[in-house]
Amino acid sequence: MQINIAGSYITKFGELWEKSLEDLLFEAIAGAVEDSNLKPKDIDAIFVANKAGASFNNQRQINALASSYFQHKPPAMRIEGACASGGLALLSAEYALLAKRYKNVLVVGVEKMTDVSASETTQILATAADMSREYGSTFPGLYAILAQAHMKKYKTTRNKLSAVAVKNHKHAMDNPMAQFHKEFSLDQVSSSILLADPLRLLDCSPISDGAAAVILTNEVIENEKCKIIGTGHGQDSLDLAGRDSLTELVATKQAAQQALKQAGLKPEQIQAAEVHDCFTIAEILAIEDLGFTEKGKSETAKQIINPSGGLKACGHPVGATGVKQLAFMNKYLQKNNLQYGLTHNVGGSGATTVVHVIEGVLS
Amino acid sequence: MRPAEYYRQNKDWKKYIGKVGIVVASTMIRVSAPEQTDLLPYSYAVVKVGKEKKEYMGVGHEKLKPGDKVKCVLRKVGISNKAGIIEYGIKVTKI
Amino acid sequence: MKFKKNIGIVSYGACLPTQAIAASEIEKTQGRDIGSVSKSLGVDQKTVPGIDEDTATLATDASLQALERLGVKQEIEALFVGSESHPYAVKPTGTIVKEALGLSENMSLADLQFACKAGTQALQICASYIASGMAKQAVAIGADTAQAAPGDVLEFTASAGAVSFILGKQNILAKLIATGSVATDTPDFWRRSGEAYPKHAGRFTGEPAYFYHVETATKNLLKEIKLEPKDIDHCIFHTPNAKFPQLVAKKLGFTKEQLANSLIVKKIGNTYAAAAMLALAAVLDKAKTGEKILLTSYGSGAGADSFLFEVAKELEVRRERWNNLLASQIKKLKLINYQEYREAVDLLSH
Repeated sequence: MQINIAGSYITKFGELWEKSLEDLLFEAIAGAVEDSNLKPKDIDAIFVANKAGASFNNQRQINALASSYFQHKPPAMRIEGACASGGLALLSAEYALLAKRYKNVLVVGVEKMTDVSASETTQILATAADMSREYGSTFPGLYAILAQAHMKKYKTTRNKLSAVAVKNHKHAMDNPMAQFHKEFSLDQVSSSILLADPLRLLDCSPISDGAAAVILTNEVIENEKCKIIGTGHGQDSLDLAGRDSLTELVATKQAAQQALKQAGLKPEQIQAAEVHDCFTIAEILAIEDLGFTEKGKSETAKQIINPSGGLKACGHPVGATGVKQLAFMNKYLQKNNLQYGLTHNVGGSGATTVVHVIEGVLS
Repeated sequence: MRPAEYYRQNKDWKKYIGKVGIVVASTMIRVSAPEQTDLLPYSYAVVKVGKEKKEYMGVGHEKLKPGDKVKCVLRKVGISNKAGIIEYGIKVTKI
Repeated sequence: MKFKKNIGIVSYGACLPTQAIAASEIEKTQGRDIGSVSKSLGVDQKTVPGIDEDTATLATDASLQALERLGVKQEIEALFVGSESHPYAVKPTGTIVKEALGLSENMSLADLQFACKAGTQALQICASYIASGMAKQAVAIGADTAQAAPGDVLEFTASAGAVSFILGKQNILAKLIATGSVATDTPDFWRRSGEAYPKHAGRFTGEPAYFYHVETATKNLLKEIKLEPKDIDHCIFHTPNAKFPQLVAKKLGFTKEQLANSLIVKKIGNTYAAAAMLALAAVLDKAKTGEKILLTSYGSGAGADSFLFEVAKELEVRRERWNNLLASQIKKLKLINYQEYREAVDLLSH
């Protein structure tokens, strides 16, 4: 398969008090259109990724909101799969292109999270879990259970978790759009407050506002940029108790295998990856389950992992993240003259995973 | 918790209350949704009950660890407001 | 009323919370001399409900133990819960317990309220259901998470616990010989609707209230069954504190030894509607075959229920296999501080 990336844009991520959901959405749309060689009227359809606009912002029908940016009001739909909303919206757009229904589609992910209290945010994010089978759970709580299981089986240490946060904060120093430009030491991460044992505040991705957009096309484009050469979509039980293993995300393995097979690549050929590090343990699981390393040896990965700073330091506006990963990788491969990149987007505690393999044009 | 939700959930109580299980993995939750704020900190665990795996909160502030033998009991699983339905549900306690 | 038919307790279970507060901790907080109140009440510590517990959950735990100990087929057709801290003002505690235990929906069920004697009134109603044939088995629950205003002397005793008795006709552990009650309109203790804490009439709660009703009910019963205090092996009187039952036992002619096994109030406080029945459970946990047990509860407002039981051989046999008897639950109580105590009891109003 081959789908070209005609343009991409990422807004600044962070606590953006001056910006509304609509401001962020429109900024990303405008940015992506401008980044491409297309005119606004060339956009045939829009796929919007958003997790919880109805809860965070009391706004539904965000598809129509996105479409209203354009004078010609292209058809738009909104896709939700918790934090994997972005990945799923990309897939939906790609299927529409492969079906030759449209030529140029815009995928935009947006989340405006900071208007509500931390406690309300915890509640809204927790709705990504199974609401009857996982009553009383929290998002950090579920990943804490995965961390406990991993620590027990692979003797994963506190420092290994902290090292993920330290690295990603360091990477974010080079990303002007990142939420944080602040480095932390291992000790600072390891001694930050506990949210759900063993996960501490600095193990967690932040609450963020932000949006990202990409324009995908099956048209041949001048000055060819990056293209999508493989996609994968894995699913597992929504509740942790329904899974066979707590030390791996099966959905990640499935998605990675599909995407790499389609791309005709082996994991070791991937040079850089944006992986879903909503918590430090999630990056460790991702590196292993994507096949970059054996289980328990994520620190030996050769790939550049989360050059944007990841969800951890670049920020995690939940519905935007999957789109941002692809938008970032599009520019990153071009800028660093790399050939193969991968993005990995996870919903909730790992029930939904979307993987994309991207090929850059070497100069 | 909404009345109809409670009404559906309480049909499940008799299947598990009184049953004994083993903790597979657990954490101590210290930041929660508003319904559970008054109950913090509380344990949350994946528990093997018979052949099934279930996820339950631990009673009170009780700390649970893998391998702990636990029993399913009736407790308040949320405390949100004085006027609404009292949120009872299944929790596990060490035996 | 003397029972001609063979009816009695066929199982029972008790549940105390796992935490308690020492009287000295409350004395310290209330700015009193250490030992000043606890000594006069004879209460060293009292139980405190967990933050996620209430009357319904304690009643469920106690009933679960009773069901686990039941030696015959479960055929429960009636359930009554006595409490002065039902979690809802309107909506029964009993239905919550029934659902959690998975009992049949073909069930006579209601919540009762008569201060501290609501539990024994449930026991008496259950006995009448069995005697009349209206139920094959019936559950009588006394459960409370008693409230006391900060600074009130009630803070030293108002505690939490639940006890559940299953009455029936087969495999009886303790035969019910007779029961009788008294009731008068005596305003010694009350709580108006919507008020968080009860009020009491100080010294008025003694002579015309507790003592009059307990003595009258006890004397009436002994007279009916033609027994003297010396014929009784264990006596139990409602325990608002440890002082009142000792005084009333003495006045009625019972010895310290006859009363001794029932005085768990020293370590658990006043569990209100559960108190007299928990004391009965504590006595049954130790009683021997053929022993006679006299129980008189007291409920403010005011009234008293008297019962006479005779221990059957079945109790000693079956008890061998039981665990988590009351004494072991008391032993496991973990002491908490005043702040933890307030946190737990303040949540009860939610």
